[in-house]
Amino acid sequence: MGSGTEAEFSAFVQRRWPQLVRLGFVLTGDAGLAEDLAQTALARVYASWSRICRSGDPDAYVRRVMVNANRSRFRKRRVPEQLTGAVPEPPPADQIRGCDDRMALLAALMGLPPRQRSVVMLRFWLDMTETQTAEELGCSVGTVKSQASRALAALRASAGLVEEVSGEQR
Amino acid sequence: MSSAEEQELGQQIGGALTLIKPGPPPTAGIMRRGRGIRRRRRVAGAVAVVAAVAVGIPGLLHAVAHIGQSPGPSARPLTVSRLGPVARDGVIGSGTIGGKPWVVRLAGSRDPVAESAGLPVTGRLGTAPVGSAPVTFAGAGTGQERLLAGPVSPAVEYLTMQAAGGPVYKLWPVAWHGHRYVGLVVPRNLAVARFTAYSAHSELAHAIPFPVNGFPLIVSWLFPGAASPPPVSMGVNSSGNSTYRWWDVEAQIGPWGTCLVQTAGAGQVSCRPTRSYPPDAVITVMTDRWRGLHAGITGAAVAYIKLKLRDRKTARLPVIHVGGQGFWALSVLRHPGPVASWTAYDTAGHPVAGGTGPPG
Repeated sequence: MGSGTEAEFSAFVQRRWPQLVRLGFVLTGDAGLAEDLAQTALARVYASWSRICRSGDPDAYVRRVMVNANRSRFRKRRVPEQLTGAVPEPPPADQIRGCDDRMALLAALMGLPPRQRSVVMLRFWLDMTETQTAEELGCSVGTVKSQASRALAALRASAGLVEEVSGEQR
Repeated sequence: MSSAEEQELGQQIGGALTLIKPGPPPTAGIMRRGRGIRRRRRVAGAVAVVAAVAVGIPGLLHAVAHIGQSPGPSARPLTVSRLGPVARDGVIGSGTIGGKPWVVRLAGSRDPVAESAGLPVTGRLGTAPVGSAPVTFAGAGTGQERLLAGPVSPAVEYLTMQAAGGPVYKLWPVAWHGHRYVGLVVPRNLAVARFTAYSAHSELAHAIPFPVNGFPLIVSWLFPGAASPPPVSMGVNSSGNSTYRWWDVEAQIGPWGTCLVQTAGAGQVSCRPTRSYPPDAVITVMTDRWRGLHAGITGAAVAYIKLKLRDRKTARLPVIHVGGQGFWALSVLRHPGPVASWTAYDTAGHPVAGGTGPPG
């Protein structure tokens, strides 16, 4: 890899790193694992940088690597104490009232099952279409729809988040 | 949900995610890993299938001098304060790391989460430890600090956390909405040798944590009278048709439990309490998709595993036994994996278990 290409990759890493770690955090629930996941994905991208650049969408590639790597990790890894900051279920709103709203939303998000979390992230944070999300996650559009619907219902069920999620006025 | 609402939710999620503050990207390290991947791909391209060859039991079975991942720089000094018996404003722990204060606070009454400034929120802690454990910690952290918090059994008066060659920290449970919790923040590379739970009169149980990425992971608790297995480390190394070694899995068995550690590659760690499995059990404990790695545990009866490959070849996968558990590891490249099926055999050559795809 030439120095020009390396500089290009380095700039890509600098630009995308925060977003990738945040995506990794939502996927894994752990900041350390999130960084590992982002590093793994970027290292794979680096290994094929020229080809990926030619394909024209390194962002999509790196995201897909992260989602797949996490799926693989989650399927097979069974650890008695999960190394995760994930909330298995969102705490009721009265329990988180008084916390920072962003913290509450993050806690509720982390309380979603991993697949729903992935769908929410891709659909609503990365603003992908249902079709794109389905392609990224390797599932059907119907699955994306149902998972998104369940995720939103779960987020709404956190009463403190009703206003935030639905945009309804009190 | 309208598109405007979708957009708003996206913005709110984006806002919430700003709470996660990544450090600077380790670009040089990423490039190094990337070069390694490229090299391995070139080697792997010449090897149609690499089935694992687990080698040399006696030479690779040795007492663990160095448990878990290699230690990094020394941890910053930790102090833990003693708080009153009842949490005020949800605070269940406080102290300093390197002179900088930390506070662990619970949010939620019935089934709280724990939070500490600058760290992710833990999962829900529950109100009682799992099973007979004196405490069940949930963890959340960054690369440099990790928040540990969890509910404590009513029998526990206090806990201690002993740093290797260093101070012993006392952790006093603090009541919150009728249940008791402990919470603390530990710096990376604080080598924790032991957690001990005490009643008012005596020791209830202790745990030897397994270090993962510089932080202690409690896998199992040892109660008085229980056998404490000596630490043993076992390498399950691979080589293919080429002699290029491109991954290593080590089983580390000891008083902490049983952990499979990827000593090269992604550094994955998968732990579980040491237990007796059914004699014919074959269980996958760790996978690493990028290395095509599968590693796991078997029951005592499984002597070896035969793999039937999709190209009609067969490969024999050795199983290395330690303390009633067998360990195996293999790597299969290509997608879908080239392993069509597997059969586990006992020492007499009788099949005892089998299945399709990779073992486990």
